Amino acid sequence: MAHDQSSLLLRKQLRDLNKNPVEGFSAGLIDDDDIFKWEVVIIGPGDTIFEGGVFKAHLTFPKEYPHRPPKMKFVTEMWHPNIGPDGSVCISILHEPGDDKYGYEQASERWLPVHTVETILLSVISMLADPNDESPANVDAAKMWREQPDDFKKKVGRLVRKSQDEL
Amino acid sequence: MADNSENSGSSLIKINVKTPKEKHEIEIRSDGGIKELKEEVSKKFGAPLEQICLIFAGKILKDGDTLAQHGIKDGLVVHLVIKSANRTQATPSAAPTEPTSSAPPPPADIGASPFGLGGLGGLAGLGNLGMGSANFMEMQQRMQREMMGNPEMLRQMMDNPFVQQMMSNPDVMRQLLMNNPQMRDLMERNPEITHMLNNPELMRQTMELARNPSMLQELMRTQDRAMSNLESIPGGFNALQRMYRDVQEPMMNAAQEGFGSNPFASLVNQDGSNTESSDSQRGRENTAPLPNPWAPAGSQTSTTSNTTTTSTTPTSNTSLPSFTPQTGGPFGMFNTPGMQSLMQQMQQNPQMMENMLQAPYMQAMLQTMSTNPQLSQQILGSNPMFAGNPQLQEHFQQYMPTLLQQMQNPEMQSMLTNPRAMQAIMQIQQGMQQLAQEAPGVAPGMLGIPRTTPPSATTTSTPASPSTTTATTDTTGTTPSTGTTPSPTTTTTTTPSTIPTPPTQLPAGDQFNSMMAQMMQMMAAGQINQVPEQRYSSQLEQLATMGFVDREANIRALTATLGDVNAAIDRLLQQR
Repeated sequence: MAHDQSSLLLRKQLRDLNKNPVEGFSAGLIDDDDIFKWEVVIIGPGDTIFEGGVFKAHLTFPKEYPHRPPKMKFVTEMWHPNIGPDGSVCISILHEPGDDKYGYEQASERWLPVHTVETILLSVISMLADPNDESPANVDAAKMWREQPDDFKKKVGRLVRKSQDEL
Repeated sequence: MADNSENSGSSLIKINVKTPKEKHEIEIRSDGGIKELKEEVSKKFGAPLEQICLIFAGKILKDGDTLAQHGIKDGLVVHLVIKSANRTQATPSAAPTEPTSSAPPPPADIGASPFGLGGLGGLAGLGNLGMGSANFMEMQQRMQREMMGNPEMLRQMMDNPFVQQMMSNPDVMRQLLMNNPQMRDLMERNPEITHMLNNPELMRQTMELARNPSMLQELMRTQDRAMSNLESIPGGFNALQRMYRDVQEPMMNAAQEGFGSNPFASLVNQDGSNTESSDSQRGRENTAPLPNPWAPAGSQTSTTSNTTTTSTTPTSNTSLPSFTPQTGGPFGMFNTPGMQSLMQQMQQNPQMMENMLQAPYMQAMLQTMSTNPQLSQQILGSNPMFAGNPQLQEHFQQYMPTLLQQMQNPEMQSMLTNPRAMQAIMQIQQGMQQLAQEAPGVAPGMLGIPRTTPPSATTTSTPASPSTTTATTDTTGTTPSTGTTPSPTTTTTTTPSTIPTPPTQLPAGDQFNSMMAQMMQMMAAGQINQVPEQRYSSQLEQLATMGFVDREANIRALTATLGDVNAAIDRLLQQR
């Protein structure tokens, strides 16, 4: 069944990640009984303005996984062009597969069933360091990032510190 | 919590704890708690316990939890994030541990010294003088706060020729830094820092950063905010650190140099004719809280007691032109920029004065002085100014008890502690200064009036020695102690002495005037205020030969770049 397939796949990923954690994030389940709801902690990548931050996020997988992408949402307050004001992550690989109705992205840039929690999070981590402001999820953040990079850095710096204080 | 773990018995498990940079294996009992794990991690990674943050399976591990609860088993990996040090309570030792890494920067640097960027540098060094009382600390904090609100002052300081000179000489800087054991230690651990110190260019850049008003403002706003802001500017953190090292440390050293040796010791030594008294004084100097280096005039006049001078402190200060370090001798300590800005600070903050006056040591000092006239006499005797002038000395001694008594008068003290009264004095003083500037001819005459009104029998000795008299007439315009003010409202008060001193001690006050005047003169004489034009004459020449003909602009550029010709050229070209 599709359901079994997805949960099996996710369970395997969880096991792998626990045994061989990937640099930069830690992943687990919010509730041990629900394999579709993950929580992750992203450790702010070094040598970026997010360094030192500890950012919590939730991943919600659809039953159709891996045919459809999960949704990712930061629980920790973020300020990034590709993270919406509500914390939702907006990167091309998490977009529904198929051709983009707006014509922004190629199908190859969008969700592919080969993506795992690990590849998603690695993409998100690289996104943190390297925002894409072509289709921003947070217009204000994108504008600031483009036009007042110093302010942007300051704001992120504050959030990094805040994320530590919340621990 | 998980009580069932006890049934399973405890066995040692190995957990891999890793940060993005390090990885350590930690052995712990399987039924242990997170707290124990954290303690182990803290030891292994050499980080304070409260900065340890462990993450496992997407969860942040809390102290109260157990390993079993999170399913942490043998061989598993736990992520570790070492949080930035607590910003409010900066630990100086924590700061240098990771100075070059770009990891969550320990913001301790600036906070480490209450003066931090305030540039007053380590007035903390005063602790050596036994001045590190709580009141003093409080004062420092107050000043620091004030300073934050006044970046202009810091900038002024940066523009101070002394500071500039110091900064532009990498050797001096290096030496200063090397003299600091803490710094030395730091450098041993971090060769990069040594390298940095060897790079005058880098130092200069830092200084320039410090001179940038907007940057400074940013810095000054509050420590916390400033840190957070700066950290997020690329290189900002490093700049901060550099600033700390390049500005704060040398300042501290400078201040310590000034304070480290008791200014009175030098007075004593200078005065050969008074060896006897100086010796006995030397023995006592450290125990007696007498020499208050805060009172600029007071330390000179010594026993005039600090209270008198505290009243005049703020005032006399304004009239003191900026001293340069070249002035040696007893004025050494006033020459430190730290001292100067401190004075300025005092002036702007009557509240602080009040505080100081209420300090227990102040009271104790007065007590000592009044109960021990001998001591006061010694100090008087060892003052070169008095030494060369026995008449004046005698006169002064005669009035010392009265003066001291006056000082202890609660009414008098309350006056001194009244910020408004202080303010009024300052205003008067400022007015005097202005008058002296605008109408130099008038001021001495006006000041002469009170002097000719003999308050008591001692008038005969008032003129003291010719040298002092001339000094008075020359400089009384700037002497703050003269109570007469040019404004018609206050001229009615013909009390010649310092405003706060009641008439009983008029003669002493008069003496005080002349003494102040002489001091002024001495200070003025010792002052070598090199204008940038002179200071950078060689560089200016160089620029001129290169075809930069606008001398004014050249000077400006050189001043801004602390004499770095290359940087000045960059600047000049940019301006075009």
